[in-house]
Amino acid sequence: MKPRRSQIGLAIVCLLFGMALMMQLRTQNRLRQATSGDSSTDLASIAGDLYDSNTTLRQEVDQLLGQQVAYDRSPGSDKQVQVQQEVQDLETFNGVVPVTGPGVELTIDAALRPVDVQDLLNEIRNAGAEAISIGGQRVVYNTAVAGGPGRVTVNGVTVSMPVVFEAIGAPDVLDRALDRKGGMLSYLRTSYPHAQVILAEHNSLLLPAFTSSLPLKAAD
Amino acid sequence: MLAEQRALAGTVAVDGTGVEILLDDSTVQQLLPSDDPDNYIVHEFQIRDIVNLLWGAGASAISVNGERFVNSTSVYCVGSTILINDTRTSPPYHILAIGDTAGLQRALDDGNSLRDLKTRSQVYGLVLKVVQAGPLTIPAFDGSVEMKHTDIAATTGQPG
Repeated sequence: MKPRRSQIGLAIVCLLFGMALMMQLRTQNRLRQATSGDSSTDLASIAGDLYDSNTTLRQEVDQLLGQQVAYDRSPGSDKQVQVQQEVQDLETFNGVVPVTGPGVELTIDAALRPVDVQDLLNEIRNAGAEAISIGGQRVVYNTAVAGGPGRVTVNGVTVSMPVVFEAIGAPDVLDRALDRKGGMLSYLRTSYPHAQVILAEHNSLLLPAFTSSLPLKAAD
Repeated sequence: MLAEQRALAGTVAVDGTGVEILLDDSTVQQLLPSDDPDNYIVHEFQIRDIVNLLWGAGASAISVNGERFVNSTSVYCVGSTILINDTRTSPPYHILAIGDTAGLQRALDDGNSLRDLKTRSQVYGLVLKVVQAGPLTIPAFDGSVEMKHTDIAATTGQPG
């Protein structure tokens, strides 16, 4: 993730203010030392040096503040819109909002094992799906598949039979990827000879949002 | 808002405590002609099984050989390498998971979990062990989160 230019500007300004603060603390320290014994000529030269470096730093701060203003006014940095767009993209990616789009629906009427569902999910992700639900449960980054044969849980919720996968993405790509010879579906048809497997392309699917709160360790 | 969504997406690195699991090919050097080499090497489904178990045990962030597991991550076998997030990886596998260390450890130790993998570990010498429990840093996902086909649904008229 690239930091925005204004963030860089702000970071530099913060850094400089920090430096200025340090300078001031040092000044106070040196003055304290100076007043406790040094001659007045030493004091004068110390103060002179500090005055010079202070001026240089002030100039740098002014210059950087000017740059930041320029960045903020530059065309295409409509930050509010950019941030809003990124939030929406991430919410979609994260599965925390309901979404629509074209894709495929895969219905499997068989007593699938958790590992079958887990491998199918992996296959659908690998085929480039942008949003996935299993039995109405929206798949998120930490979705776990558990349970037992014929009573699979997704996000801790038992999936009813038949198991329905919905995936938003390029329908033809998803369709072909899932239905290839030697792929997951042909494996399932072999493993569950009586299973009814239906794979259908759709122009518009509606996937629900993930509902409970995600366990999340605050990032640094 | 943005920071929270980035954290959920895994596009920022995260620090925390958790476990580091080592998964590696068998240490057995000489195979008998009757041995199936497949039993002695790490397979992509074993990585999937471990990751799925860790999510179920409450992990909040996972990486495998530096690849952050996000909502689009798949683990796929390509020839002799394993593709994770479009990056080719090979053993040894270092699986890092941030979460309640004791809970993650318990899930791994549970006799009902990873049975096939634990059997292969015992019988064929496949390496499966927790090598560290403590502070970890899990790297950011550096792939794309761009959506080409998906739009946020209008919330009006939603059932329920």
